[in-house]
Amino acid sequence: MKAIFYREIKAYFSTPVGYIFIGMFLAVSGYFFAASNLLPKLPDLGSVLSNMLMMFLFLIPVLTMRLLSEEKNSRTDQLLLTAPVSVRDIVLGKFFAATAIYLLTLGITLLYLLVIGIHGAPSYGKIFCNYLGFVLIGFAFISVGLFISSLTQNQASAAIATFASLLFLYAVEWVRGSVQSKLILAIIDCLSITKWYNEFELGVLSVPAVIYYISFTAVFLLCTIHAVDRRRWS
Amino acid sequence: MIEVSHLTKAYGAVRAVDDISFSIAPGEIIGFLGPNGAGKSTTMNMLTGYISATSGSITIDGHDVLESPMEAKKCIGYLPELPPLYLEMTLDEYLEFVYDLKGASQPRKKHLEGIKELTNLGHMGGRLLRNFSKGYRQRAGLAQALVGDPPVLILDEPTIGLDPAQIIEFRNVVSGLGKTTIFSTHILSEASAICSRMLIINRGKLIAAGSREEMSGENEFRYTLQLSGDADKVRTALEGIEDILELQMEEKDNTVYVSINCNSDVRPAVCRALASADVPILMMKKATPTLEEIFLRAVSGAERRTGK
Repeated sequence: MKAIFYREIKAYFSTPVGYIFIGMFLAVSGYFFAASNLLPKLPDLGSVLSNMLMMFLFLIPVLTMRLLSEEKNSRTDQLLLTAPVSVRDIVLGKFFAATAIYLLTLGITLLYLLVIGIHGAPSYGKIFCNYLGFVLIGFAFISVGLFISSLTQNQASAAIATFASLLFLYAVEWVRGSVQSKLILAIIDCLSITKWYNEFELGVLSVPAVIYYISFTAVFLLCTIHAVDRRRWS
Repeated sequence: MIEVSHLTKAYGAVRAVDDISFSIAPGEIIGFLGPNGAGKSTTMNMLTGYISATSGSITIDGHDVLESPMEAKKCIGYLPELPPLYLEMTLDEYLEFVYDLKGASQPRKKHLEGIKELTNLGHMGGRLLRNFSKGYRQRAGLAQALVGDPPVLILDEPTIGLDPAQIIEFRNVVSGLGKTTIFSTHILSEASAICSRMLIINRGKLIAAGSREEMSGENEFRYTLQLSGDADKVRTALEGIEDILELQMEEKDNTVYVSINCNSDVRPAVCRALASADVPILMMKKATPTLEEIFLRAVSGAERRTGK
């Protein structure tokens, strides 16, 4: 798993993908930070993060699209799957590599916090909750992207399908008001990945939400392992 | 070292590999022959655990590929048809990665340097794999298979796309390793050059197995002759010999080309008969079938047996 993890990290920086993700993330969040904190002189960093959620729909597919699809496309999966490494380790190695890049980028945004800390009095507890929620929702999005990447050989298809899936998860909440059926409401509750983020946004450390995101991520990782394995058995 | 029994891979109704069994002793080099689409790559992919078998079993050095895949995979170095290279890496980065991936225990630097030396890639370490030519990519693929010093090598069409000098070099490397090796090819002369034994596969079935000598039928009696004289005289002279089953003749520029098929060594009788008929023999030799003939014979024999 370690070998795969390090190779993936290197691959992010030997292809444009890592630079595109980090660059775009920081450019957009920098703009949001300027627009909603610096210029109006407000200490609430949470709004930057919730605005960034929207950007995730575009950025996460960039991060995850080539993880497994490119292996199939260049036939390097033959190396991985015939090496003495389990499919679980392959999938986890790749997942952790993507999350490491994500956490690294998120780490850089802590500079904003530093700026606010120097010039104002931010509520650190609330910002901690914001960040925790943001980390967890990022993991969940990455697991979806990784899963979709395992289904195709083509990076572009993986990216577009991931974008569509994330958009669905993001927007499924909007139909809640016009639905009566209890069953459909329950399904929406399960899928509505952003709804659970609201509590973190308010600064509440919600244990059910933490459990929701961890299980959501775990389910998609299991699906990915299964998808990679299944092709070998068909 | 390798035991394969009743191996079958079905894709729906199509049997890509159909009930194949063979075993390979340590140190043997086996040529896996067959036309394109015969099931060679599928078989190799099953041997290496890349895909699963529909039924049957594979044992590598005592480890069942299905039951203890980790142990079995540790014994195998695999070069697939398309070398599995990460093109954005340099050769050194790539080999280091493979070393870690396989969890190799040899002293890292010495081991990798040795492999690069062996595959003639010593000077290429810092170059991006993307910029490698076909021949060099193939070498990098072989280098990758050798990392971790596995006792078994499985090479899928390893010489495809190489020039003649590279092919000879490749053969020398592989035969010098002393590892149990299976390599597939559809070029027959290639197999006979380094293999102790050949397995011929067609339409998913194993249709012949053995050394070249066994397959070329040492106890067949077929001879070709070149004679000076005319065809009628030759025919009268040879027709008197009982053991000749089949006689083919062709006359060109006062030379008669004869091929005979018989059920004993008739050469002395032929000599005497032609001498008394006053026909000089320019050449006479035992006809050994080419590999192409062996192959076609095996294919048509198998088709006759299955009644197709």
